[in-house]
Amino acid sequence: MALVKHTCFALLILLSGTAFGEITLIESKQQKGDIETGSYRAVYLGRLFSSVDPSPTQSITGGTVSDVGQITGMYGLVHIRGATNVALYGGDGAVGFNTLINNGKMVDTGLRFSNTNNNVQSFILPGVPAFTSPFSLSASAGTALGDLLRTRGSMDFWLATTDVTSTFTAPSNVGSDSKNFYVQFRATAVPEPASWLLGSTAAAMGWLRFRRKTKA
Amino acid sequence: MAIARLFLVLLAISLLTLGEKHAVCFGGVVSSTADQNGTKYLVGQTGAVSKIGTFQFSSPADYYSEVRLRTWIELSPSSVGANAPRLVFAQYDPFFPDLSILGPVVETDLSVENVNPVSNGVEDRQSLWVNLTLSQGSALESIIAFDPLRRVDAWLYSPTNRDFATPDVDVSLEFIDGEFVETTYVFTATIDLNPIIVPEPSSYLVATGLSLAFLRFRRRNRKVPKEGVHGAC
Repeated sequence: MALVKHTCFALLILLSGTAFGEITLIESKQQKGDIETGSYRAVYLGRLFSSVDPSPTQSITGGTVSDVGQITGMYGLVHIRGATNVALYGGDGAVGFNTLINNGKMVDTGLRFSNTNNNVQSFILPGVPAFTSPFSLSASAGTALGDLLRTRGSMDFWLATTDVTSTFTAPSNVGSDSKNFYVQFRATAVPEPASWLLGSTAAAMGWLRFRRKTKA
Repeated sequence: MAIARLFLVLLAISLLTLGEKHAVCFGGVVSSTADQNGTKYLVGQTGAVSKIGTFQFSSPADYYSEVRLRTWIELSPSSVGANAPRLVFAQYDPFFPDLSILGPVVETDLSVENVNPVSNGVEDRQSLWVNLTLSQGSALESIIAFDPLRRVDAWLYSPTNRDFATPDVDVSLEFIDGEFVETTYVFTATIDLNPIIVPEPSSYLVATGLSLAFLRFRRRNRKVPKEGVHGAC
C-alpha cells in the first residue's frame, strides 16, 4: 500500500511540474514593411516562431510551440516613423489585414507604439528585458494568441491603426541598414495528454484509497 | 628549520583562503578600442539605450575588479546624477549584433555625467576607474567567454533619460585648397578592464614544492664546511 501511496505522490509532483512550466519564445526578423489601407492603416512586419523558415535568432526554451498554453507576457521592438498609438497585432495571415481582423484572425497584443518624429526611430517596449518586467497581456488576448500560435505553429505580426489618415511606416531598411523587429513571448505550458492521463490515474487511485480508508 | 615551519604555516593559511579576494594574481590591465556604433533605441516611455561598440578581450580572466571607459558622447544638460546613462555589457550576438541589449547583460556602476551643463555637443570623455562587484566581474567574464573570439558589446543605458547618444561618425565640410571637401571622422571608444586570475590548487602545489626545494638547497649549502679557509695553513 505504501508503494501505491508513494507512486501517486511522485506522479502528482511530475504533473505539477508540467502544468506550471514557462515557455520563452524569442525571435527577430527584418521588417517587411508592406503597407495596406482600408478601414485600418496596417503595416506587415513578418512571421515569427515558425519551424519552416526560422531566423538564426529563434530561441524557444521550456517547451515547443505546440506546448504553448496562454501567453502571459511579452517584449517588442519595432522601427517606425510618423506613428501615433499604433497597435501591435499578432495573428494568422500575411496579407489582407482588414479582412483578417474582420474574420477574427488578428489579436491586439495591447502594446502601443508612438513616434510623431518624421525620422525612423526604434522602440523597445515595455523595456530592456534584463531590467524590466514583461508587458502583461490580458487573459483574453493571451489565450487567443496562445491558441493561435499552438494550432498554427507560427504567428504573423502587424502594426495597425484605425486612423486612416495616418501615414505611419515601418520600413525594412533605412539606407543600407536593415531594420529588424523583435518579439519575446512568455507563455504557460499546456500539459501533454500523457501527463493528463498519468495525473488522472494518480488522482483516481488516491481518491479510491481515501474512500476505502474512510469506509473501513 | 624554524623558517621552514613558518613558511608551511603561511602556506596552509593561503590554501585555506583560496577563493577569497586576496588569494589572487593581478594580470595587468587589458584594453580594447573599437569604432563606435551609434545604434540607439528608445526604451519604455522615458528611457534609452545607445550602443557604444563591440570590444574584444582576448586574454581570459577569472573575473574583473575594475572598469574604465573613454568614449565620444553627446549628453544633454540633464544627464547628471540618476539621469546619467550607465555602462552595460551585453553578450555578443553574431546574427543581429545590434539587438544584443535584449539578451544577457551586466549592468555596471560606471555612469557618464554631463560635466559641462551648457553644452550639447559631442565630447571625448574619459571616466575614472570604477569598481566591479564580484558578481558583476564574474558575470562579465562569462558573457565575454560565451563568444569564441571573446567579443562583448558595450551599451549606455538610462531608464529616465533619452537625451544622449554615442555617435558613430562626424561628417564635416572643410574648405581645402579653394574647394569644399567632405571629411568623415570615425569616433572610437576604449574600455579598460582590470582582470583577476585566481591560481589553481596545482599552482599552489608547484609553488610549495619549489619553495621547499629552495629551503633544502639553502640549508645544505650552509652546512658545507669552508675547507679553503680552515686548511690554509
